[in-house]
Amino acid sequence: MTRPAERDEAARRVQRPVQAALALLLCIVVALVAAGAFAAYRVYSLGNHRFIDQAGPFFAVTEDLAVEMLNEETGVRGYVSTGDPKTLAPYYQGRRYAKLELALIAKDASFDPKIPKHVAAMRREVRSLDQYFANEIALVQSGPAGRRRAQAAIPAGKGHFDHLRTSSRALIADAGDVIARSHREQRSTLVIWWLVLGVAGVLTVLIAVGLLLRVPRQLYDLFRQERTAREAAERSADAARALANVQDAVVLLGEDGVVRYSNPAAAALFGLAPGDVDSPELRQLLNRPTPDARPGAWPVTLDGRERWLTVVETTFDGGTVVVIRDVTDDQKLERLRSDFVATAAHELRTPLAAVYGAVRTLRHSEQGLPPEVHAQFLEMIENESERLKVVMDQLLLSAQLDSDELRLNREAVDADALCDELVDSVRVREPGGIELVLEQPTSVVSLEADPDRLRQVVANLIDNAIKYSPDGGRVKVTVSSDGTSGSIEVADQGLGIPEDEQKRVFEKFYRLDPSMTRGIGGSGLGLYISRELVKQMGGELSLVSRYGSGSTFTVTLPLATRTAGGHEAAAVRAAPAAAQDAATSST
Amino acid sequence: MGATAVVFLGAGNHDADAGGRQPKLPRRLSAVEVGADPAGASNQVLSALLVEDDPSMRLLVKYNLEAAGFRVTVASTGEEALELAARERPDVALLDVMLPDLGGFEVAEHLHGVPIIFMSARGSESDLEHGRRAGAIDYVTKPFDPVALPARIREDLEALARAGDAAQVWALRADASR
Repeated sequence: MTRPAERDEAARRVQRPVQAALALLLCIVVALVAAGAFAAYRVYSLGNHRFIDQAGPFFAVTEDLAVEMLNEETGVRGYVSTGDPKTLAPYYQGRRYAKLELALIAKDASFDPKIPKHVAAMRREVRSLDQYFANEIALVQSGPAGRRRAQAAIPAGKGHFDHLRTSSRALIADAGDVIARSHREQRSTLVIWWLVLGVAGVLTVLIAVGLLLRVPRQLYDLFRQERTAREAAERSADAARALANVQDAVVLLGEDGVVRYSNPAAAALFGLAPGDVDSPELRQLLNRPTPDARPGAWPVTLDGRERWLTVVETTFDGGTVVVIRDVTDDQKLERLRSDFVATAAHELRTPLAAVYGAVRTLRHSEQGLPPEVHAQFLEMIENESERLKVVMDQLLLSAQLDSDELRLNREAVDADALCDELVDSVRVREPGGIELVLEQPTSVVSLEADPDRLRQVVANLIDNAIKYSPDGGRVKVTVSSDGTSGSIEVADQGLGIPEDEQKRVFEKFYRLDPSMTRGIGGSGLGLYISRELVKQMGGELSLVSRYGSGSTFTVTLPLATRTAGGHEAAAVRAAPAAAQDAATSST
Repeated sequence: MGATAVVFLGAGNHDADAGGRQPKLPRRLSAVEVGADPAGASNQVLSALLVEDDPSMRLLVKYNLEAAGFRVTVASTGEEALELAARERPDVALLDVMLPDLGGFEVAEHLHGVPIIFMSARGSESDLEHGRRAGAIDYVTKPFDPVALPARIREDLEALARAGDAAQVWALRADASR
């Protein structure tokens, strides 16, 4: 992963050659443009100068000169023929213009070395012609004899013209040469400049292509580095977020064993101040004597309390990461569970021991047992077997309640009818000394409940009430409702429950101190089951008690929205079952 | 099944040592026949203190011990047990571990000079270890055969008399199944 400084350096490394290349490219382009402009100008000026300014006029002027000389000749011949001075007008005109033409030619004669020669020749010819013309005119002016001599000299004039024509042709040919040469020079200039431009252009293209090839790739590399760095940063952020929110404490140690990082969970667990990564307890835990020889939980005192922590260390190249988890609660749960199993086993073994012992004794006695002892042991077998059955049923029911496996029916149950039959069946079995009273409501109280389970709960409460009134007294069952919910209350005048134990009576296997209850037995599961059943029916089982004066247990359940009509038959039908339930449930 | 007469010197009533947990030799034990029929021939009346809160177990053990010639005193709580032990000075105490008030182990600590046999439905490794450390000479797990109990008690007491030390008796028993 590149850090920002490295990325800047890389960027600069790419930047400099690119800048240099671009600068060079710019210079070349500028030079090209300048060269192009210059070349164009030169071509233009050469052409302009040579052709238009110089060679052009030559042709024109040379032709004009010839024309003027002809005009002169025409005038002279006419004068020679007619003798009329008026016919000399073209001559004079021609002479005038010829002079001008000649001057023009002479002016530009310098543009090529060959030209002045021809110009000089032409000037001589013109002078010769002028001379000839002048002679002719003089002859004509001298008289008729002269006129006749002039006429005879006219063919000589032709010769002069021929000379003039030769010179002018030579001049034109040379001028033409010059023009051709100019053409060639222009063309070579053009070609040279084209070459220069071409080479420069190719160079430019090469440089541009080079830039094109390299720059995007380097830019792409830079971009990719940037993106990789960004992704790494995001992953770090994600990692940081995971570490910040995980419940386990995570601590990172360097290769030297020094704590480099503790996540928020670790800080919370070890009470680290903001900015601290370490604490004496943590260091002690990390330096525990036999690392992982005993892969269990370690006791650590934190904040005055003892916690149990599991420690898992993973060493990697560069350090060690330590994951610490607080398993105190798990341990407690585990202990509770193993305690429960042990207690359950005990509760089952005890009646079984009695059954087995009684059977062994009965079978072993050779002389036979006295009949009353014999009967006693048989009764013991019967009772203890039943007790065993009850405890097993209760254990199974507790397990079902705990794992939410129990299915409860939801019906409208007539609370009064249910309590009435229960009280009746209990009254039949009950020992003397207990006055069992049912207080009935003024109107029907229809509860939303599972009838069998409700019967089980109320039977349990009534049984307890009787059991814990060893000195007799009154057990009163009251059915009532307040409009939204209904209640069944079982009140006794027995031993009562001390305040600090009132919460605990609903715990599994909890039995009151028998020294106080004078050895009244029971498995300790009855109230736990009753409360759970009522809770799962949507109600509540509550207790009001005073040690020494008795206890009142109240089952509160929601009222049924339907009426309980039709369930009386069901309740009556199940009466034997109710009696059995009442007989077998115990505290 | 031969009969071996073993004579024990009736040791005086020594006070409990400060250090180890060696119970004293039973005072009235003078001769015991090993392997004798528990219900019959022994003319040795041993007194036993039975501490058990479950009425059925109380009845069973008491009946069988008495049928085997023991004199049995019964207590159903730890407090009661200590009282009776002080008064009666039994030859052996049979202690239920799960007693309502004081635990059986705690009662054992206070029973100086009386050989102790624990009885319990709890028979895990840690419970047995607990029993050993409390200085008992035997640990009987429920359910057990009450008919065979008197013989077992007599064997334990003989072994104690021979070895003089509860720990050794325990070690001997450790080989046999409990």
